[in-house]
Amino acid sequence: MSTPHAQPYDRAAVLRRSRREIRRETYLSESARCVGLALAAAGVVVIALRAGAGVTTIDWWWLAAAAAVGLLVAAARTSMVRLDDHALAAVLDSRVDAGGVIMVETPDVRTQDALRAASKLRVSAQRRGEGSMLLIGAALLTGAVLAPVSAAPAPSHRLDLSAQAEEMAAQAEVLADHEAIDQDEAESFAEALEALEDESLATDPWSAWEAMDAARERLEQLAEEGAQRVTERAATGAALNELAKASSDLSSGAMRSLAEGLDAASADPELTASLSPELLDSLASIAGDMTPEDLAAALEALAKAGGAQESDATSALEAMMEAGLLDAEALRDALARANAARAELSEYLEECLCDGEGECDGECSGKAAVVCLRRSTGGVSRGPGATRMAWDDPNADALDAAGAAERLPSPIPDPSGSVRVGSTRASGNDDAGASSSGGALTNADAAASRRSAARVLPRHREAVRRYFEHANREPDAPDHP
Amino acid sequence: MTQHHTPATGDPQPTPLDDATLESVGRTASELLRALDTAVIGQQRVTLAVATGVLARGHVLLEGMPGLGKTALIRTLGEALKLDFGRVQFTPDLMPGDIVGSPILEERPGGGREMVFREGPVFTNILLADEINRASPKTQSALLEAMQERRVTVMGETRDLPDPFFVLASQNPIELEGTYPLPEAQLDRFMLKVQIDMPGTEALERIVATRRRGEAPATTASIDRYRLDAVYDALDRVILPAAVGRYIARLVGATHPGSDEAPEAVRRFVRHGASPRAAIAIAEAARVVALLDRRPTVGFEDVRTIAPDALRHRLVMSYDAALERTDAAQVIVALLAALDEVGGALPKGVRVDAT
Repeated sequence: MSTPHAQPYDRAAVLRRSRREIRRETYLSESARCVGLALAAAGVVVIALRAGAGVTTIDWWWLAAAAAVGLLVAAARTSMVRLDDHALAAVLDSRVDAGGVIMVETPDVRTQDALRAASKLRVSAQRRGEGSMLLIGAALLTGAVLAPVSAAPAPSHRLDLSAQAEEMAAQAEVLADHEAIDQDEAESFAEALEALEDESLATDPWSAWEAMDAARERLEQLAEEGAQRVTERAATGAALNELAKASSDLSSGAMRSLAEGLDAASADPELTASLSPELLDSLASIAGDMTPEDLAAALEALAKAGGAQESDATSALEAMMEAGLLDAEALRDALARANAARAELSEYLEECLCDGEGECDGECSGKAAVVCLRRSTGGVSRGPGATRMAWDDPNADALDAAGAAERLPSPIPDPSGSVRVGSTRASGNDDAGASSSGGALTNADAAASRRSAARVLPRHREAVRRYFEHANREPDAPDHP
Repeated sequence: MTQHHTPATGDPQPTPLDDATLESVGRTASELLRALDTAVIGQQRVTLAVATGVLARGHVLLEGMPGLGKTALIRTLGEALKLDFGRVQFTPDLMPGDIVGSPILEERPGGGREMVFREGPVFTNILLADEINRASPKTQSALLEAMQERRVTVMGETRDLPDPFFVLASQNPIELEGTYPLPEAQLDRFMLKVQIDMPGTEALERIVATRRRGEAPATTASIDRYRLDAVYDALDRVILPAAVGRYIARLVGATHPGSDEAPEAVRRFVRHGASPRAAIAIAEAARVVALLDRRPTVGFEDVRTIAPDALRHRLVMSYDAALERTDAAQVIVALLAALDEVGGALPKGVRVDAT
């Protein structure tokens, strides 16, 4: 029979409490399941963005949004669970063996005992599956965020040349910094690269690739010319250094001759164009009437300036090698040429050691011709005198005669005028060193680990071959075929 | 009678039993139960099933070895209920007329002869059909009609049997040679089949001490017709909640191998499951169990209590059961353990348990 109890139990309250607990457990189970699924879906999205679109930054609010979506879906699913009073009463009645007194609203002596027992029932849920799902989702999302994924390749219709353009622009800047090329030319080259970079993202990749190839060729040409110019500057500095040192041993007459010669040299625009301002000042100071002592001092300054120019030019060559514009062999050759000029001049000056006071039998050469510049004693005529040492292009006179050099149009084609001929994607072989075959071009996109093959017209084969030869050039291979 | 709408089904139900009525009819039922427990020592489960079957107006089949008190039980039942009691010893030569009666030719006092129907032993309130499986199927069928229809038809004339009418049959599980197993159709007529097992040592000790010559003491219970009718009326007012009714239906349905809720034991060892008559029997018997517990409603535990006796004789077992020596009782135990009483009411994975 019923036992006395302090507070009567209300059937509706007991059912309400039980329903609330059941909904809570249901929501927890659904939340674990839905959040696990949401995290797994977020993981798939993250890895797709990272691998496909190149997204590198995953904000924390993405994860929070995925979890929030999961919780909302769990709440919606929980709200769909129907627990009417009859079913809930049957559950409680069966669990406490109430004999049906909870299922009917008829007050009975046993009802209170049954309700009291029902109020102490514990609602629980087994969440092994949901827990596993949550763990799997979290693991999948964590793996998607942390897994190393190569940057996304450029879209099939776009060719990202920004890395290569930046590299070439930096190399051009090195040339300009060391006065291997004119600043105007360096700026023009940089502008052309910038335009090429912008256009390459909107046009067909083959034209952009060909234009980039031409730009590299132009850069190589500039580098070669710049190296030549710097080498000449080094040789000039070495020669003047040597000449200035050697001239200090000459007699006053020879010194005077030297002074006249230097005066003539200082008036030579082509010669002075290749000299540094410091050397020009030294020449200016040497030119004109001077005492031997003044001349000696001027020569000493000239020797110093010439040595500095040689050193600067050598540094410029080394910088060009570090920038990838020169290889080690080219650097050695340039330095050898600079030293050779010094050695030749030194040998020349030693060979013709003439004080200029005696009679010249006309047999002397080289150095004697220099110091005997004013003398023309007949006999074997060697022409108007010693050959002027020219340090620049032997054809410069011809060019000067033709007029001012006309700047040729940029060899870098304008890709904006290209026409897209189509695109194709084929599973190419990852062999960057192999030569192209069948007209196929293997695009080596510096930003992607995946290579795609595209068909290239026959006229592009040469450019393609040069590119790969440039990329995988052996130290002993020539720059040009 | 005022109508009370239960929240379970919304259907109009009789007014729930008040405490006084519950106590009164409960006392009557308990008195009967005590009388039976006094007659048969150590067989509380059996006496409960017999009392349940009788109060539920059903027929009960008792199966057990000889000497376990089946006859004493039924005799005491008849004495307690103040009802007519009849006994028939089924033998192989028993004829249907020996059960239901037969017309005989009698001489009239004034002369002449006439056919007079002599009623058979079936015309009683409580009929003990001893060793029913010894009679021929023909004779068994005669009793079948009486059990189901509660009337007999002889020579084209139908005669109603007394009310109430119960058949308490017994059969011997051994000595099967020369017996005729009851067909499933007739077995299905019995509301409950009660298995009488050997009593325990303590019960046997009490029997030895108190039963001289095995005679059961006379019962002191006296349940007249009026009180019995009151019990029947109260049983009609015991509420069967819809959830319990659904559980009974699911339970009976799960006895069929093709059912979705059938456990592995049923799928493997049962060839044919129980009929809807079994569900009705369980429902009626569960009401009695609830009434015996002084409750106005039927609970799930009442169904679990009476289901084994109600289903045991209604399952047709397969050959696999015979090979593996698995009987219906074991299958029913597995079924009750596997079937959740409120299956599907709770969300998946959620459990409600006692702390």
